[in-house]
Amino acid sequence: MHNYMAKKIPGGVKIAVCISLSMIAFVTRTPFSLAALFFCNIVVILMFQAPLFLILKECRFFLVQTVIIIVLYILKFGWPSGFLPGLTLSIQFVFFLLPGLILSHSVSPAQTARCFSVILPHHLAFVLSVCIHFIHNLMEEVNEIYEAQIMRGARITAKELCNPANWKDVVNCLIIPTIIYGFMMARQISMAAKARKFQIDEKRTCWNGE
Amino acid sequence: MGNTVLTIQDVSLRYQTSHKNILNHIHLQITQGECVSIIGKTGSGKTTLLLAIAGFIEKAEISGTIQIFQSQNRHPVGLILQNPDTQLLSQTVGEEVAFGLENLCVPPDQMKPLIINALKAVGLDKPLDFKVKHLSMGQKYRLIIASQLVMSPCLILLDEPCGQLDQPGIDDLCQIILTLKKNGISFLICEHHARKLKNITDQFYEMDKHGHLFQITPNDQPDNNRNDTPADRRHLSEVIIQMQQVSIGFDHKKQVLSHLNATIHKGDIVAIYGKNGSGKTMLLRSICGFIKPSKGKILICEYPPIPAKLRYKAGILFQNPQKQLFELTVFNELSFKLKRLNIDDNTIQKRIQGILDQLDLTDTMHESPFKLSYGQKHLVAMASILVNRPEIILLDDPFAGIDRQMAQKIIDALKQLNREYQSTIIWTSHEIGLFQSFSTQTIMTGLKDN
Repeated sequence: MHNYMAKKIPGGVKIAVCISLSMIAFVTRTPFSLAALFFCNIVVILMFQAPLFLILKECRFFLVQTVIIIVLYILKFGWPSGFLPGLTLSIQFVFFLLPGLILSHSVSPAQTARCFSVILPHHLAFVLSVCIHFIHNLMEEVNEIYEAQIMRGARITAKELCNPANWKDVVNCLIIPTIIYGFMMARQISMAAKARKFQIDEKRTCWNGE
Repeated sequence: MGNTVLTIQDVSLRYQTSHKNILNHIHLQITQGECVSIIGKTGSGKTTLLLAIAGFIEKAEISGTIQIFQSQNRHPVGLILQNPDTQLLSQTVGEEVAFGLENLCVPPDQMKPLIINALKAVGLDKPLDFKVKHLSMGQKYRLIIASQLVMSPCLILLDEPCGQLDQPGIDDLCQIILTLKKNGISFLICEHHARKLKNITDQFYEMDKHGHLFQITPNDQPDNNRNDTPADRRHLSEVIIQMQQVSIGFDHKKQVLSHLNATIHKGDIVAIYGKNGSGKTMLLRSICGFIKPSKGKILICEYPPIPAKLRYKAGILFQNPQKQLFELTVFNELSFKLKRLNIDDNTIQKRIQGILDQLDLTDTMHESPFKLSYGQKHLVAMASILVNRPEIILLDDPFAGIDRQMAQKIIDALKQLNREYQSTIIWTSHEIGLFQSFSTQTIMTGLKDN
């Protein structure tokens, strides 16, 4: 029944809900409204049948982001006056990005392209759908890079990152290879699309699916 | 003789950033229904030739002419690159095949029969809403061929199709190519080994390291699979790795490996053979401690593996090793772990010089690893593991996508480490029996009972 309901919800509705949730995060600042927004996100994950385990796994990156924002706020405004605004802003950021993650797990690229093609030309809708799913694909690669770099001697295990002296390894050994690999992936996707006659400035049709 | 579909006359190509020609005075002609295979070492320019034919070369000076003769209602050239995973753009089989039709502006209501026919031609009997991620590597390759076939190409260019496929996958591919040739489709295939393509190829060419192309007969290609000598079995008293009833899987229902038992001694060279998706990579990740077996246990020197501790005695090379590169020069790339091990600069210099000489990479020492060819990147990543002389070396499909000569260099370097430092080497391959005499022990994955 639950699965049936998730399949029944049109892709366009899912996209609209996720974009709305993401926008609401900009104006949500009080603890009560943030808690309400958290609840809404959980309801959406359950309704869209998004894989909760995978989403939680990918949310680990938000944890790093949260720590960085709070540390920067404390450095600028001092302790404890910088802590609460830093925490609020980092939670807002998480709620801004989380709906995108839910969207990438619950709507296929082709479905996204079909929905966007209602308001955009087909070729632009395709590019937009690839962009939405690109980060999610890249995150899968990050794990492999992370494991390889640990074995090469990079001090980036969770325990080692408690020491700020090791933070530069995150940049050198994880973020830089990920960015470079991201560029390579983008190039390969673009070549694969061009090999099948995709042109950014030309018209195309859109299959309705099965 | 059929109609000509491709004529290449006196084509030379040089990238703007290089002084050297990648392709030199290439002449080639392919007729309808013909299959031409180009053999050559890694980095000799085979992929560049395919990209030039498909019109994908940028920032390069090209002389000579490439002519593709297009039949009516046919898309001239289909290009299939080495790694299927990076070429799949959609989540379902139907969407993937439809992508090309969408770009050719075929009306949506006419697509379904064309998609079904293309899938039928490659023998991929799956529903249109079947998830691409659940296909095996061989099935993914067939799907990519179908997604090109649906656009009715006259000529299909295949870049190293055997690099990622296991033997059943290669056999299926050869069968599909034979059938498609009968339907008038021509093929140009770049591959390292002529042996695998003998039954489907009409003309063999070889590309040398200067980018010259010359015709050969298949017999000119030695099958040098067995020119390595068996490694010595020494220091076998000390057990390094013990696997007891190991089962690995995504969950309890879907086990990739089940009840694997193995004892690996110091100085052993262990080959793990298995089809694509049979759990070889997961086994290596389990040995490193990144994933826990769902049943049984793995012990490294009598203790369960912990990645942060194991890294001082082990080195791992994952598939697509260029992902592991991150430094600005090859020298820095190789010295990264050595510096962490507090080894003095003189020793670092000597060790790096030694391994670069051994792998023919000396000229690249101060170059950026990102600007090197695919094969050279592969060797740099390998060198960055070997230079540390780890006690345990784990290599995930280390010979995929590289030529035999390069593979032999890697084997020689590994054998030297094994001989001089008693390194234990565990390596995987999807090509069952590859370099078997190099190993002292063999493990097969993908069998019901290991």
